[in-house]
Amino acid sequence: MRLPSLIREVWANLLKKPATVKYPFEKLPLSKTYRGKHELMRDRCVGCGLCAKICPAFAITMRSVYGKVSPEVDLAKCIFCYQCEDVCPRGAIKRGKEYELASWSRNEMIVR
Amino acid sequence: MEALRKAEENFVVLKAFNDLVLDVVSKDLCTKCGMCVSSCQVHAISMTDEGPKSVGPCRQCEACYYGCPRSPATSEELLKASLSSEKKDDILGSYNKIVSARTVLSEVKSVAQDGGVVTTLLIYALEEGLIDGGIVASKSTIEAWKPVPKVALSINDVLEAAGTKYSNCPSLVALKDALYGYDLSKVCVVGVPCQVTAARNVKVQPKAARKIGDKIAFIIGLFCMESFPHVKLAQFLTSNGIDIAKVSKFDIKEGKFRVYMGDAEVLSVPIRNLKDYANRFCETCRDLTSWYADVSVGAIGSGRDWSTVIVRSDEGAKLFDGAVQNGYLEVKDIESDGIESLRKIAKRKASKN
Repeated sequence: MRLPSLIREVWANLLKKPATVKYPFEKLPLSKTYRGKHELMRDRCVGCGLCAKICPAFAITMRSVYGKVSPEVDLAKCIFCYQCEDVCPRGAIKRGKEYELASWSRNEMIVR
Repeated sequence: MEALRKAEENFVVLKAFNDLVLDVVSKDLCTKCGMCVSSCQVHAISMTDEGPKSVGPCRQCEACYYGCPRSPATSEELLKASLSSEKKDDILGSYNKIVSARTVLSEVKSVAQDGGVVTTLLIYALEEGLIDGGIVASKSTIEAWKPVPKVALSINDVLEAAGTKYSNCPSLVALKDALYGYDLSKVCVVGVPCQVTAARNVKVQPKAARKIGDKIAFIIGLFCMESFPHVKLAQFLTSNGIDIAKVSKFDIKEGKFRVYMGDAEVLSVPIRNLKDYANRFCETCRDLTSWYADVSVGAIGSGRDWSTVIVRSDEGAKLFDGAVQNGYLEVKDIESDGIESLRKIAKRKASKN
């Protein structure tokens, strides 16, 4: 009794469009609140260091660049919880849409 | 030694909550607006009747210090530059136009203080989707006439908050509920001049809590001569043999403070008799007409049941003109002596303090 329904199922799926996408050539749309690579807005940051204090993975360090203290995010350590965005009083950290973050060198993994 | 000197050179003194207490609260300047409470991202400040109080460890992010309307760091040039208005005026602030307006909605007319313009503007913005909610001072359900901060999400909430309360209220504490509790992205702040200055501060001052400022869509300012602490107002009424719970309306008209029970006026005293009951921090304020609001609304200068509306910025014009075009408000030109009397009273407040 099961055989005819099975054949029908196979026949229907042979003619269907595949549910998957061919990833590197084709990309799915991201959700509105997608947590990708951080966007640091330098003009807003005043270097208070709240993001470095709250980061549970110790991925954010405060570095002095040209006399201004500002955060650096190590993507190799980051767990993308975005507590830094929540805690930033000036809204200087934004969720980015970039998600292809693999790299050959550790230096390139740091968002400055 | 060299390293120590270098470290000393790079050492920056950060403003902690304690600096706010030293510079503002202990000098009796604190207006209890509540901006420090909503600025604090680590929830270390809470508001009491005496002022802000530390309830947790301060992380020295400086957001409370630079958002405070009375802090020495507040720069008036930056606040003034943020408004795109044509006419510059020292006493009334910069503005685009001054008109008289009143509501046409019958449900607002029955509860409003004068013209019901603020309530109508909020209803229009909520119905039109310009805002998700409004920060208002509503009436407490426990103590009569005690204003409590509230996030108005529906028209019923707005109507409940209608009418002037003459006590000060930490309205901006509700910003925290609105942004983190209800997760609103466009809010409208209604407040007296000190609260308006705080709300404008977080929009333009670089070191203030800009994240909050991004989510404030409109700032509606009220005219304010001075406010009275709720406890002292109740005391004053009791000394005159009136129970505050039975009062139906307070009003200040023609220089007299009037108290109504039902429709009957039961008390009218000159405002100067109330001087001892006013808030101490009001003595340092020179701003009558909410200089940094998008739209300022008040009774001074217009006739009975009309409100004076000062439109100051493009956002304010969008809100007010939209409400007029969609038939929420009716407008007329302000009488020629209206602006003069407004200017006279504003000058009196500026010179007195």
